Amino acid sequence: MPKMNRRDFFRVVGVSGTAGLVACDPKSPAEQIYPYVVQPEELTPGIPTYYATVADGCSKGCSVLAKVREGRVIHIEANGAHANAGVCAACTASIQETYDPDRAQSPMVDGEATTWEIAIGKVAAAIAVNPSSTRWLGRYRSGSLQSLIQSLMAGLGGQAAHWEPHGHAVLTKAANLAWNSDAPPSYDMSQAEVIVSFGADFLHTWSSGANHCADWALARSKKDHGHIAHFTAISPRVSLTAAKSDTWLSTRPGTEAGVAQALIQLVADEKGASEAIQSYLAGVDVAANAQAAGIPLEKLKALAHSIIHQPSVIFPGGVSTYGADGTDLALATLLLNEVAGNLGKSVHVGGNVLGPVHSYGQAEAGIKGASVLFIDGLNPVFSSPSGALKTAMDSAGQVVVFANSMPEGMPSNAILLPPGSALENWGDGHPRMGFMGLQQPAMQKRLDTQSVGDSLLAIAKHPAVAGVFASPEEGEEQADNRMEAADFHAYLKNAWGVAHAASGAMNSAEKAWVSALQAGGKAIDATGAEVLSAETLPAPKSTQAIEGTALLLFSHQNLLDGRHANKAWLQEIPETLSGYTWGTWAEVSEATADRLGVSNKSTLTITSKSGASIEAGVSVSPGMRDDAVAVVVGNGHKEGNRYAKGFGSNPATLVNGTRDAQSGDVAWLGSSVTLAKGGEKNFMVKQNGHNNQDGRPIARAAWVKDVESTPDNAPTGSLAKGLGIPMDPRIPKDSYDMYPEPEHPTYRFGMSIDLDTCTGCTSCQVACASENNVPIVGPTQHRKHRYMGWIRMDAFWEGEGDNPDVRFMPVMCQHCSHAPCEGVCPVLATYHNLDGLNAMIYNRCVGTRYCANNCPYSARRFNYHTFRWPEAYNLMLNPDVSTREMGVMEKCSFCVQRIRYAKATHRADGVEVVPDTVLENLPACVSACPTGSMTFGNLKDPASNVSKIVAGPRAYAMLDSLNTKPGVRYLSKVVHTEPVDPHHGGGHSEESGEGHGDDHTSNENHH
Amino acid sequence: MHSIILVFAKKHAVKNKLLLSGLVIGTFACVSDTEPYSADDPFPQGLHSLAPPPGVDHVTAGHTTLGEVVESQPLEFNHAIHAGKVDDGGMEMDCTYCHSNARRSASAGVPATQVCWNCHKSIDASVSMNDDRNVENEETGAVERNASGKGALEKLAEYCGAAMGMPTCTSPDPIPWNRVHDLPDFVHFNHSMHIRPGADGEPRVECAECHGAMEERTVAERESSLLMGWCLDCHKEHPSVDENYGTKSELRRAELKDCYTCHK
Repeated sequence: MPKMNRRDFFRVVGVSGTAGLVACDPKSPAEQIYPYVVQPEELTPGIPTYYATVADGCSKGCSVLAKVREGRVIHIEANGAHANAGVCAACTASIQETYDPDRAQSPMVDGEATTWEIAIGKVAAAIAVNPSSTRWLGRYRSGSLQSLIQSLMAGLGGQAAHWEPHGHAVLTKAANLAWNSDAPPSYDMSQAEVIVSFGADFLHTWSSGANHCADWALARSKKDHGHIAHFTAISPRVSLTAAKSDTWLSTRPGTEAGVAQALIQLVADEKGASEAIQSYLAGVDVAANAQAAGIPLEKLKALAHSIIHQPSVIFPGGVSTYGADGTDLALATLLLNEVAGNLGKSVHVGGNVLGPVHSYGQAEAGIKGASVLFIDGLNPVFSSPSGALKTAMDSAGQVVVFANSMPEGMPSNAILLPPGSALENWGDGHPRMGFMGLQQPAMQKRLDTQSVGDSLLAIAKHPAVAGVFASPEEGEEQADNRMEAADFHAYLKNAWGVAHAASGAMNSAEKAWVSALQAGGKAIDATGAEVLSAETLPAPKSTQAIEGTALLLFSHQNLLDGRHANKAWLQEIPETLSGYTWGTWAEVSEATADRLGVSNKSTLTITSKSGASIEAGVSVSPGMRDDAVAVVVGNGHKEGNRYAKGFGSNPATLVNGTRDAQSGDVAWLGSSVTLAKGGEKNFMVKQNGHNNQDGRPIARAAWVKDVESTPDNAPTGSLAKGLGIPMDPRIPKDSYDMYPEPEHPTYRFGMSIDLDTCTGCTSCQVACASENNVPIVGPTQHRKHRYMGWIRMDAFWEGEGDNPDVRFMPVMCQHCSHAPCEGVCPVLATYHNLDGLNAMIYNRCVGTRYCANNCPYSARRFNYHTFRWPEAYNLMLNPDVSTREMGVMEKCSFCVQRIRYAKATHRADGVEVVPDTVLENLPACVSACPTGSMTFGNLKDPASNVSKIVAGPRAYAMLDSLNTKPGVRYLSKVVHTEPVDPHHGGGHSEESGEGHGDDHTSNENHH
Repeated sequence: MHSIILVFAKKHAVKNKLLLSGLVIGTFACVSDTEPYSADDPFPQGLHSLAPPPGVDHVTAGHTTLGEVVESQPLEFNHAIHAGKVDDGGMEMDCTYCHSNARRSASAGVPATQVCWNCHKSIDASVSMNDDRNVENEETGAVERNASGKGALEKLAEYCGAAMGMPTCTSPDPIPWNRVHDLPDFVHFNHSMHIRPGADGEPRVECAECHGAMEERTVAERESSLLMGWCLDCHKEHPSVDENYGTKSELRRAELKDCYTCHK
C-alpha cells in the first residue's frame, strides 16, 4: 500500500465529504435580525441580567438568582449575597417547569382550553352555591400566599388542609406534644460534633436539604472548632444521607423509637431530665429495646456517651418516622435533643416555618363533602396510599386544580387553572429561620397563565363570590380588606409594607421593598418560639418489629415525592447511590438478591398483602437489611408531561391504609410485602455498574485523628496516601514525562473537590447540563450506556458492617497537563491551551473516539446522534455554548464561556488578570455546589484559594501514578474508622506514586 | 459524482471504507435536512443538522456555513447619509451612536426602531432632500416627488407605528432586517473587545476594518469573508496588539491564536 501522509488523507476525505455536501445547498438560508422596537433600559443583547428571586424546588423556597439572556431565564444560580452557598438540583432544574413542552397553555374547563374570565367565572359560580363547604387541599405554603389562602377560606367559611405525602405532619404532632409548638423545629448542625439521624435524609429530601448541606460542610470542617463531626445513622437502610455516616446502626424496621427512648434514658442517667421526661421513661427498658432493634448495647452506650459530652444534634424524620409509630419516634428524638441540652443551640423550636401542616388523616377528613375542592401543587391520587383520595375527588361537586398540567385521577369536569412557574410570578417564602425570600418574575409569562394568588384574588372579587364576604356572620372572621388588591403583586407589596411598618425600621417602605427585590429577600426576626415543655407526655409504646419483609418507601433524591418527575434533567441524572435513571427501583440486600436469584440486571415483583403488585428494577445494596425492601417514590405517573408519564411504577399502590396512631399520617413504612423475581431483562436504566474500587486508591480517605492532628501546612498529599502503582524502575525519574511541560504564562486553571463534604446531591450535574446545553438522551440511549452528562457521580462502598464509608466522587474532565486524549487525536481537535484547559473544538472533531478510549478518567462523551431539544426546551439553551452534532466528542470545558466572559469584562475595565474572588466560584458546578466542596481558580497564582487548597495535606490527583498531571485535585474523605490499606494491612502506605503494590493490575500501560 | 470519487480512491489506493465514510456522512447530511421530528417526541434526534428543522430556534442546530449574501433589506437604510463625511453630504455620525451595544456587549446588534425615531420623529419625509421619493428634475433643477413606492422614512414611520412628532414607537413588530454578517453558531465574536479603546484612545480595531467603508454605501454588504483564516490573519498580525501589549505582545498573540478564543 503506497504511503499516505496525514495531509493527503484529509485531502481525500475532505473532497469526498464536500462532494456529498455539494449535492445539497451548503449555504444556510439568510437569517433575520429582529431588533427591539423599544429596547428595555436594563437589557443589552449579549449581556445576562440577574434577578434575585425564589425557586420552588421544594416547599422551602430558597433564594436564587435567575440568569436572563434576551428576556429568557436560562440558568439558576446561587444567591451568594443571601442565604445559601449553592442551589439544590431541583431548584436549578426549576427552569424546566417554565419551559415544560407540554404544560397547559391556558385554563381548561371540561378538558377544553378557555379564557381566564370564563374559568374564574365558573369557579366563582360553583363556590356561590354553598360557600361554606369550599375545601382546600394543598402543599405547604408560607408567606403572603398562605395568608391569602387563609383569608379566602375563612371569608367563605370553608376549610383548608395542607398536606404533603412525605411531609412533616408527624414531626409537627411530636413538637406539639413535646413543646406545645405548632411548627416543626429547625436544625442547625454547623456547631455539632455529634450528628445522629433516625432515618432522616436531611442532606437531600428531608426538610431543607440545601441549607443542611451548608451546615454539613461547616460541621465537617475543623476550621471552626478543631473537630470533625461524627455522624451516626440509625435506620434500617443506608439512605443517601446515611451513606455519609461514620457509623450505621442498622435497626429492625419499626424499632427505631425504642432505640431513641433507650438513648434518652442513657443520656438522662448522666444529665438528668425533667419530671415529665422521667415519668415518660418509666417503662423504658434500655437493654430490651436495644435487643429488639438488633443493636449491641455497648454501641448505644458509646453513642450516648458522646451525646453527653459533645455538642450534638439529633434528626428525626425520613423513612423511619413514616411508620405506624412515627410520632413515638419523632417525639423521642425531640426529647433526646431536650435531654442532651440542644434546645436553642442546634435545635430551634418552631423554627421551620412551613405554614400549617396537616396529616393525611386530617386532610382526608377535611375535604369530605366539598362542594368546591381546590387542589394546589399536589398530585393527590398519585400520592395517596393505593390512590385512596380518588374517592374524595369523585365526590366533590367541583374540583379546581392549580397545576401546570392535570394530575392523574381527576374527575373529567375538573377545572385546571395553570399558575405558570415560580420564575414568572410574584411571591414570597421562608427558606429558613431569620430570612424571608421575595420572589419576583424573572421573565414574562410564556403562556396564558396566572399565579395562584392572582387567581384567588380574581375569585374573591368575582361578583358571585364577593357578596359572601359582605356578611360577617357567614365566615369565621371578617374578610381581609387586602383582598381588594388589584393583583397579587399589590397584595404582596402591601403585606411587605405592613410588615415593614411593624418592624419600626427607619427607611421608607418603598425603599425597603426595592432593596428586598434587589437582594432577594430580607432578614427577619430569628428568635425561635419559646420552649414550653409539656407537663405530661404520652407513654411510649412497646417497640415491635415488622413481621416479614418490611416495605420502606423513600423519596427520590431529585424527584422528591414525584412532583419533579416532569423535569427531564432530574430524570436523566442517575440517582447517586443506585445509578438508576428514568424509572423505579427497589433496594435489596445481597442475601435477599441471592435468595431470589436477582441481580442489578433483573427486575423484582413486589406484592402487597392486598394483592397489589409493581415491578421495579433491582439495586443490590450493601446498605440494606435482609428483612426489608426499599422502593423509591417519584415515578409511575399515569398523567403528566412526556417526561413524567409512563416511566417506572408507583409504589404508593402497595401501601395499605395504616396510619400513624397519633398524627394520623400515612404509614409509608411497614407494609409487609412479598418479593419475587421479575422479568429477565432489566427494563430500567442503571448507569454506574460498579460500586467498588477494588482496592485502587481512586477515592481516598484519611483517618480523622490524623486529620485533626495534622497542621494545614503539612506536605501536600500526606493525608491522601494511595496505594502507589509503580513506575517501571528502569526508567529514571527525570524521564517519566513523555511530553514537554506545557506553558502556562498567566493561568493554569484548576479545581479542588472535597470528597468529605461532597454529599452526592447531583446539583453540580444539573447545573452543568443547564449551563452547557448537555443533551437529554432518554432511557433508550442510557441502556446503551450513552449517558451524556459531563460530570458523573461515582459512589464507592468502601466500608463493611456498621461503617458504610460510601465515597461520593464527582468526576469530570481532569484537564491534564499531560493529557492522554490529546496525543491520540488525529486532527488536533483536542489540545492543551495556554490557560491549562484541555480544549475540545467540536467542529474540528471527526469522531474517531480515540480520545475517549485513551482517557483514563472516562470523562468524554460521544454524540451518537444529533440530539435535539423539543420545542420550548430549546428556549432554555445557553447561547454562549454550541450544541453538538452527531459524530462529535464532548466533555467538560471548565465552563470556558464563563472564563471568556470574565476575561472580557475585566479587560474592558483595564484588568488583565481575572481576580481570584471572581474565579473561585466561576464554573456552573462550583457555583451550584450547596456544600461549597468545589473551588475553582488559577493554580499559577500561589495566593489563590484553590492553590492553597491543593497544596494541603488531603489533596491528591486521581490516578496520579499515570502522571497525567490533572488540573482537578480531590481532597481525601475523612473517616472515623482507621482506613486499612488492603496491600499493607496498615493505615499508612508509602509515598504515592512510588509504593509497592506490584500485584496490582489496573494499570500496565506506563512507558 | 460518486463514481468519480471512487475512481479517485482506487487510484490513490486508499482504503475505500475511509473515503466512503466521508461520502456517507455527506449524503446523510442532505437526507436529514428534510427530516422533521415529531412535536411530541421527548428525545428528538437527527443524524445531522445543517439546517434547523422547522420551528426550531437556530441555536439548537449547528449552523455550519456562512449565510447567503443578502441582496435587499426591508428598508433602505442609507449609511452614507448618516456616517458619511460632511463634505460628501453626510453627517459623520459615529457607528456606535446607533450600534451602541457594540461598545459593551459581544453583540453589536441593530438599533431599536425607537433609536431611529428619536431623530426621525422631527424629520418630515416630504421636505427632506434625502428622501428617495424626491428626485431632482434634471432639466429644471427643482425637487419633484416621485410618487411610486414608499420611501425609507415613510416605511420607518410605519414600522414605528407613530405619527410624525409623536415621541414613542408603538408598533408591536420589529423591522425584519436581513442578516448580512452571519457567523457560524459555534463561533464567539465579541464586538466590545475589538473596538474598546487602546493606549492611543482610539478603537483597537476600527469598524471599517471588518465591515468596510460603510460611510460610502447605503445598504450594508459583506466585505470580508468571515472565514477562520481571515480572522486569524488579524489575530496574528494586527498592529494594535504591539501598540497595547508592548513586551507582552507575543504572549497576547499566542492567546489570540488559541482556538478557545473564538470557538465555543
